[in-house]
Amino acid sequence: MPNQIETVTAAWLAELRKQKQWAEHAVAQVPDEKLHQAIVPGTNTVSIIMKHLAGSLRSRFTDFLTTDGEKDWRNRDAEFAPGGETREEIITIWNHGWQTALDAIGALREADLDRTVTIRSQPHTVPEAVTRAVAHCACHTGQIMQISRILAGNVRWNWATIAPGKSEEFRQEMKARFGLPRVPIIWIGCKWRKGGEVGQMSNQSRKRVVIDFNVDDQWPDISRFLDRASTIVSPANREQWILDCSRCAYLGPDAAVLIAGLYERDMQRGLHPEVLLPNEPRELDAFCAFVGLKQRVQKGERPNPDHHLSETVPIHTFYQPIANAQRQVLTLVHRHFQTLSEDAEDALGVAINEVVQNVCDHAESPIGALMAGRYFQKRRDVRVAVLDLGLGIPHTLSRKVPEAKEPERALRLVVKGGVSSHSNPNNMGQGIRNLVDQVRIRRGALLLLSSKAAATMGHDGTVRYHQAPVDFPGTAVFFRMAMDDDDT
Amino acid sequence: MTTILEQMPMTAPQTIMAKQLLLPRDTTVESAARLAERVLQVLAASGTVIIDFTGIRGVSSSYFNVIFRTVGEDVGVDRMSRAVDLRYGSDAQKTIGDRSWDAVIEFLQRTNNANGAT
Repeated sequence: MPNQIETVTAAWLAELRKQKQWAEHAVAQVPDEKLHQAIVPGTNTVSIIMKHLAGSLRSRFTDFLTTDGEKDWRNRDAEFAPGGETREEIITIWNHGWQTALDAIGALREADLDRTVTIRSQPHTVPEAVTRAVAHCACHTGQIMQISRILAGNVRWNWATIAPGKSEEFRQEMKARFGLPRVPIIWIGCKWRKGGEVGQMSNQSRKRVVIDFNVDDQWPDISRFLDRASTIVSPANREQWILDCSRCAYLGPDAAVLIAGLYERDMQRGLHPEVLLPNEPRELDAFCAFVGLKQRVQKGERPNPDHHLSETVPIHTFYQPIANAQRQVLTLVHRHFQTLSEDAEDALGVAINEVVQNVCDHAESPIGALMAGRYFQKRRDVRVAVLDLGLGIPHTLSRKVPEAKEPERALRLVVKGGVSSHSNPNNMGQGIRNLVDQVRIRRGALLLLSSKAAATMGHDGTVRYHQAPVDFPGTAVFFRMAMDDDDT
Repeated sequence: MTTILEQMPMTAPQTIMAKQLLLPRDTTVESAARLAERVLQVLAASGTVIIDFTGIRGVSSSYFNVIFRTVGEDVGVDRMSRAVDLRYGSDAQKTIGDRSWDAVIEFLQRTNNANGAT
C-alpha cells in the first residue's frame, strides 16, 4: 500500500519543478546584458533574485533533516550584492540550489514527516519547512517572471503561463484532456500524518488490472498491455487501482516506463495506485530493481546505474532538454561495448535528444519525460523508452495544422517532417523525421504512440500505422538500434 | 567534411569550435544560443565565420535550428548564406544540420515575405 508521503512529496516536487521551469522560461528571454539590470533603482535584479533563491534552497536543504536550515557558511547578504556573473555562472548557482532541494525532498520517507527541523533555531515540522520553501520559491518566481517580462519587452514575450485572452481556450484544452473537473487534492486537510487513515481503500474496492502475459518491446505486446489496462490508462479514470504484473515473466524498458508513468500520474492525482511486480524469474526481479521500477512504485532501493552487472539505465525524469540527454544510455553502452563507433554514438545521441527535446517543448506533461534504457549484450543493441503523459502529438500539432487532429494523420505528418507548431524558435518540424532516419540507418526498430494511433518501423525500414486500443494520453517513443557497425 | 556556402574574399574566416561552447548542464537551446551569439560577434567584427561542429556527439535539430535562426534573423538569409561556413563532424550531423539549414532558410524567407520585407 503506498504511503501518504508519496502523495505529499510528489505534490511538493511537482510544484517546485513548475516554479523552476517558469522562472527559467522567463529568464531565457532576458538578454544577457539585462540580467544585472534593476527595473527601478534600489530593487533587485533577476540575477540577484536567482542567487538569493538558490542560496536559500541550498542552505535549507543541505543535510535537511539533521542540521539547521540557515547554515553557518551561508552569506545571505552577499546574495543581494550586485555581481558580474555570466549567465552560465548564474544558472550553475541556480541549478545547484534547486537540485539540493529536489533531492532532499525526493528522499523523504514516511517517518520523516514527524521529525522536527530548525530554521535559524526556530522549530518546524518537516511539512512546515518544505511548505515554507515552496512558498518562498513561488514568491521569487513571480518576481523573476514579472521583471523578466518588463526587461524583455511585451512584443517578443513568450508566455509560460496562460497568455492574456487565452483563458477560455486553455480551460477547454484542460477539459478535453482531463474530462471531469479535478477532484480536490486528497491530502489537503487530511490527517495524513497517520498514513492510511484517509483516502485509501481496501484492495477489494480498487479497480484491479492483471497483466498475466509478457510485455516485450514490440507493438503487439504493448498494444495488448494498453488494451488490458485501458481503464487506468485513461485520464478520465477516477478510481483507485492496482496493476498486478506479478505473473509476468518478461517486462522490457517500454513496459517499465509505461507502468512508472501511469503510477506517477495517478499518485499526483491522489488515486493511490499500486503496482505489484514479479519476484521471479530472478532476471526479471533484477531488471525491476535496476530499471528503478521498485524504487518508483514500491519505495525500494535507489538503483545503482554503475553496477557492473547492470544492463539497464534506470528510469529518470527530464523536465528540461539538457544537451547531453543521452549521457546515461551512452555510459551504459560504453561499459559493455569497448569500441563504439562515432556513427553509432551520434545516431543514438540524435535519437534520444530529438525525443527529449520534443517532449519538453510540446508535451506539457505533468510527470515530465520518463526515460529508461537497456543494453542487450547478445544482440549488441540498445533499447530506449521515452514517455510523457502530456498533450499528445495530434493535439499540439493541430494548433497549426488542422488536419493533424486525426491521430494517424498527425503521426504521418511528423514522420514525414516539415510540419511544426513553431511553438519555440528551435521548432522546425524535423525532430521525429530525424529520429526515424537515425533508427532506420542503424537498422533498428521504432514504436511511436500518441493518442489513438501508433507508428511502427521494423528492421526493413518501412513505417506502418496502427490504431491504438486506447486513446493514449500523451506520447511514447520506444526504439532500439544496433551499436555494432557490422549490423548496419 | 565542409559545406562551402560561399567564400568571402575580404577577410580570413574565423573558426568557432562549437564544442568549446557546450556546457554539460546546458539545455540544447542554451548551448545553441551561446554559439549563435558568438557567431554574431564574429560576423560583426569580420566578414566570415566557420562553425566547426566536430567533437560534438548527438546534437538534435533544435541545436542547429536555434543557431541558424538566430543568426539568420539578425544578419539576414543572404548574408548568412554568404558568410557562414559549416564544418560537420559526422554524416549524421551533416544530415541533421543540412536539414535544419534548409528548414530555417525556408521559414525565414516565408516569414519575411509575410511581413512584406524585401
